[in-house]
Amino acid sequence: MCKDSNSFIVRMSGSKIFLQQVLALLAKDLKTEWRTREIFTSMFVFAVLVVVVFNFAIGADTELIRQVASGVVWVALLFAAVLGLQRAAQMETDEDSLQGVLLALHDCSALFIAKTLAQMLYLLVVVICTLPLCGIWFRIDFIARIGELCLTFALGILGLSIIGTLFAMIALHTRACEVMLPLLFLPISIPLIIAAVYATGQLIDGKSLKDVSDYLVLMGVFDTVFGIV
Amino acid sequence: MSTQIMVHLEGVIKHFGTITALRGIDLELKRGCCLGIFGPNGAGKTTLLRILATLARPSAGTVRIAGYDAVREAEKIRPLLGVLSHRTFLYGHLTAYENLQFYGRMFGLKQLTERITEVLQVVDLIAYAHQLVRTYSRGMQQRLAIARAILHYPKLLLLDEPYTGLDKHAISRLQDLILQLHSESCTIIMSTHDLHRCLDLCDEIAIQCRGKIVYKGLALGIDVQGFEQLYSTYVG
Repeated sequence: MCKDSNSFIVRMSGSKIFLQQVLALLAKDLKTEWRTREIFTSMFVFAVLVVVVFNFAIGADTELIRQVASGVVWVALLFAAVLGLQRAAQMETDEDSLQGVLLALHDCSALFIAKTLAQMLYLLVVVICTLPLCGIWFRIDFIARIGELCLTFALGILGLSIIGTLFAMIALHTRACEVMLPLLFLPISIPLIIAAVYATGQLIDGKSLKDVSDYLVLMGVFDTVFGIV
Repeated sequence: MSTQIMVHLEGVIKHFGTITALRGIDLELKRGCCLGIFGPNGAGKTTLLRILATLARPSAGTVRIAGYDAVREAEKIRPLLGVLSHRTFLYGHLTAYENLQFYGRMFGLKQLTERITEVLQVVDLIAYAHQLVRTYSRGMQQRLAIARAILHYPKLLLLDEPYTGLDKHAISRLQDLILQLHSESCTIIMSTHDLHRCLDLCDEIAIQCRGKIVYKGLALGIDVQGFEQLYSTYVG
């Protein structure tokens, strides 16, 4: 069986094997999610429920709804992200698969990048599906400012995915993973969420990207710092 | 340390809180050797194998595999290892083929399709290659886990209770596989309670009790009765 084993083993450069591992991990996560739809379903249903509950709680005051809409959307995304991260972590611990992955990894950052990309995709799909519903319930035309909002959501989703994945990896090694993840993730994400809420709110109110540039810079710095970490 | 030495452990201790699982393990194994570790439940066999697999860090002592330090140079050791644990490390929502394809890509194997077909034939799962793993029986999952463990031509194979859940036919296939890998100079360490099969396969046998290797010797010339006497002498 091992007679010509060397012919089966690729002598790849560090960067090539790194890229191959990122792609293999990402493909595995997306394939599993495509079959089960567990992560997306739980995130989407939760996000919609948060929006619906807030909609009823706020009542019919159009002006108040407009003021709080961006906050509701980002809070819904934040908690949906926690759910998604927990489901993704559970998938790796079911048969201790993470240990098998660790035995094959050349560099642990391949795992981090693949998981971050997967989480970004899940959040992106949730945003695409949730935002039109928010527009209807909150009577806000998100489509009119879609270009500017895309940048805000891109920076926000990137930040949530980076810190979420980072803390999900840390929490995986603790006994109470489900409790540890929100305890670590939610406080750290506060600066990002504040900037995202204000940027989104002001864009909905008709302000330009230049007006919200401070918030966008803050989000960019946040993403960069945690990306490097 | 000689280049012929594959595994070298010196004074390895492992604590889990207030519990001491390993109490100073000294062990040396040459390349191409097959070692069977016996011992009662709770003797620390799994902990020892997890430390060898770089999945757990020793609390004290030295672990060297293929000349590399298992704590500081774990990333150099890992591609050399094939690990069969109590858990399968498989993804239930992927098929057998997809699981092996995933691990093959992670290890950077080429001619992956041929290699996957080869290992699936070895474990007799080729007919179920495109079936989701979660629909497999426990024994089939164990066979697939064996295929996963040998997929990337490991130099050191760590088998923790490899016969668990296997039927007679699968056990016989696993015996053949271990013999074949052994003949190809793969170093094998396995923990098992299956005395008969282990004595047939192994060059050396060890008895582990209460976190210590209390006996280690050649398997040659020891029959089942003789080993049982040894076992009761050391374990009680």
